[in-house]
Amino acid sequence: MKFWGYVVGAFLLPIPVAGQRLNPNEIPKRLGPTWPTYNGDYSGRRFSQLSQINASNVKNLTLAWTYDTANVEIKATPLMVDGVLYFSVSDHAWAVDARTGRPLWHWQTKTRGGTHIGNRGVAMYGKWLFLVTPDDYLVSLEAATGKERWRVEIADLKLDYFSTVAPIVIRNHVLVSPSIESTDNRGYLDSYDPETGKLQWRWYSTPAPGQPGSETWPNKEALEHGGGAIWIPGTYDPELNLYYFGTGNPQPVMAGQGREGENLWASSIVAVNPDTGKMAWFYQTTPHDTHDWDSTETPVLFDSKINGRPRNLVAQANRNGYFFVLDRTNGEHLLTTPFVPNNWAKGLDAQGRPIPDRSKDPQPAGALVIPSEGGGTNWFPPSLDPETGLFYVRVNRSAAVFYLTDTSPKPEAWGGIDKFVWTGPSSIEAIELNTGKIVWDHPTGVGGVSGVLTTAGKLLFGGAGTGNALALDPATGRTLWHVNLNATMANGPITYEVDGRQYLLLAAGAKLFAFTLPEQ
Amino acid sequence: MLSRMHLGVSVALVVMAGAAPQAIAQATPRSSGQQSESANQHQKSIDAARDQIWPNLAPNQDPAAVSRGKALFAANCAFCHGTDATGGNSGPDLVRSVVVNHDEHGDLIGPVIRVGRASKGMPKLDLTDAQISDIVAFLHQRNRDARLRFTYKVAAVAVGDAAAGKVYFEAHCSSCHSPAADLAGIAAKYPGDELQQRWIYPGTASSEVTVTLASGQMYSGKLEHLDEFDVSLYDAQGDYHSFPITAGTRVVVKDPLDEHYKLLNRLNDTDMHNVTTYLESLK
Repeated sequence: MKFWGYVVGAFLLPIPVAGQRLNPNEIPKRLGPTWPTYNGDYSGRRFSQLSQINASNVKNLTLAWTYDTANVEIKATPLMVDGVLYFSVSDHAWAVDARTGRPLWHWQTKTRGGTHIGNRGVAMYGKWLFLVTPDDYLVSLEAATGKERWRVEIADLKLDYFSTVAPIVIRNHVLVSPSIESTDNRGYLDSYDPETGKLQWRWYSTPAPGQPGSETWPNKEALEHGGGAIWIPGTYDPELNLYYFGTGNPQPVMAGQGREGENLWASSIVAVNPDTGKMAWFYQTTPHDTHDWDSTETPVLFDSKINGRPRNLVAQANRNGYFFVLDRTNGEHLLTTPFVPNNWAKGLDAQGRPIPDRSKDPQPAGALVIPSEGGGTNWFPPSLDPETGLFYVRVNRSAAVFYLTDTSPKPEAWGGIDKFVWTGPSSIEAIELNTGKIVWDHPTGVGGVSGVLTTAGKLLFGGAGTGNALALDPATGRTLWHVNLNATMANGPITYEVDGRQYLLLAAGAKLFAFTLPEQ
Repeated sequence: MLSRMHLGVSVALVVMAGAAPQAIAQATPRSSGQQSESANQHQKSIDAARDQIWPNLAPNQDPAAVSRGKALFAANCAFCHGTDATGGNSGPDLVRSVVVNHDEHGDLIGPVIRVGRASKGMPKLDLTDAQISDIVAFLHQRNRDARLRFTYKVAAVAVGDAAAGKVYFEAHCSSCHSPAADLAGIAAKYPGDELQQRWIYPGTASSEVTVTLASGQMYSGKLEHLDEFDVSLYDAQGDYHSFPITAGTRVVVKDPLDEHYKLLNRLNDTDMHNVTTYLESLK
């Protein structure tokens, strides 16, 4: 197994394995032949060391196989462990041979309900897989057969919680979190025992009454229904033993008059200890949000020198249209720069947070806001290439009129609605890590929603709203290869190696497409 | 955080093969054409999307029961729970309530009303089963209405100064539009919020394109598709043409909504409300 070559550090526990298994201590620090977790490794960089497919030969890429799920659009990032791909959509999961695309099994479940907008993927621990369902189960499957092992309820479906997140396994912790769309609930992150499904700890996105941060809410009622759902899997630093993730918008979403204050820890980047669920630090990216500016976009870990001093850093391109760099040891703010135009912020405060222009809060007769609720970016996985020092993000451009529809002192749920005025072209942007400067911007047409992948082959892969998959030069954004898949990519592309061959795996619509170089 | 992708239209310039990404950025259509649907088709597609996103969604309650329940709630419950059931001085919010959300046909709410909750200061209420059933219907409808934001109603948008809106219109819009011609009776065609969105950026026009091949041959018509590799169009005869964008291919796109795009980026909310108010007067 070539995998071993990429295991670094004190976590090496070589257990002889038979069949498809993943020891969570094997999740590599440098992403190589396998793709064993949502972001490939724990860093969130989606930068692969594989370079068999590279800038000089990418034009020769050829189709290896396709697999049609005949289901809904694939939003999950597949895993690839020991020659098998595992991926999911709401209520379904599949295992497919990574070399041939031949299906091994298909698991499905009858739903009780819940909001069906997508599923971000599965996690693996030993010979078991984990995924969540829209009706709030954490389900464990046997990786070899797809047979269900157990399921536990992680949230109250009747309170309108639903689940889409890809679980993340850190040692013996399966980290999952439900989503909130409308009903005013409290967001949280859970840790479950991968063997028994027993809850180990729960971290709430809003403080308890009297706890520091609770003073940013007007009362207990607002605090205990304040939202902050954790939609997207986070990242992990094994040395610091901290798990990083973003919290979603406060509730009610657009009507802020019942929750005066900054509304901590909604719309924040948060670090918790995965063994205890205790918060180490937080940084709020949008104080008192009223535009659905989730902070759930992937916090990407990297190390760099700032003013001559080496630092452990975390970067995030936020839905609110700003790029943030923080010190990931303590949450110290280092950089905020806009990566897409907006008209809702008046500048930055002393902590580097955008200062909302309150006249751009939703209004009964409307406020014209750039961008729309969809934001400058969204859940699309970004990538960070340590060789170029650039952060790559899918950028959207739009405008909407935001209406306040619930003017009562105690609004419910959304309390407002934004109506799209204009949806413009998306692009893939390259942002310089140390300065936030936009180095290049490659337009990808209206509606592009794919994530981004970079590789040591000096390649960047992503999708376009026009149905094309693209390979770009990560230094310049120049197009090196494309193929028209005739459907929009809506997940993060991955790459892996099986039997000495590197594959590029794309999902467009309900189909998987694997590309490789022609046999020599 | 459901993000909706929405269709609208657009612009631009000249694309040449191998152009810098920035040049392509300017030349890429700003958005694609909105599909026109009949109101009936539109409702059907909303219903289908809703059923796919929310399988097993609780149905609407009987409107007559909701109406009776609302009156009963106002008379018997609102003093503590507020007229909208969002909580009052002494009673909790019943829209986000665990009991109400878990209730099925009054199985949980009914006993609370009949027996009361002495420990929490809730008296028992002397209501008939039919009355309780109506209150239950009202509470479930309140919850459903709060959950489904596409059912939210926007208030009146004509809150500006019509005279000031007319002045703005004459300065910025009248070279293409006239209240006596294309905008005659516009306020009667659209609800206020839709009118407001549409006048800022109508999102229904299609772009005109001219493609000049390396050979010098030219094709013009309605733009069907444009990306950095391919362009296609329908010509005046309705025939379809598709071309690769190679060295020497010249593509010029003219977007009829270019002025709206520019407007969108400089419009302030006062002018927006004023113009909307003016247009609302064009019944």
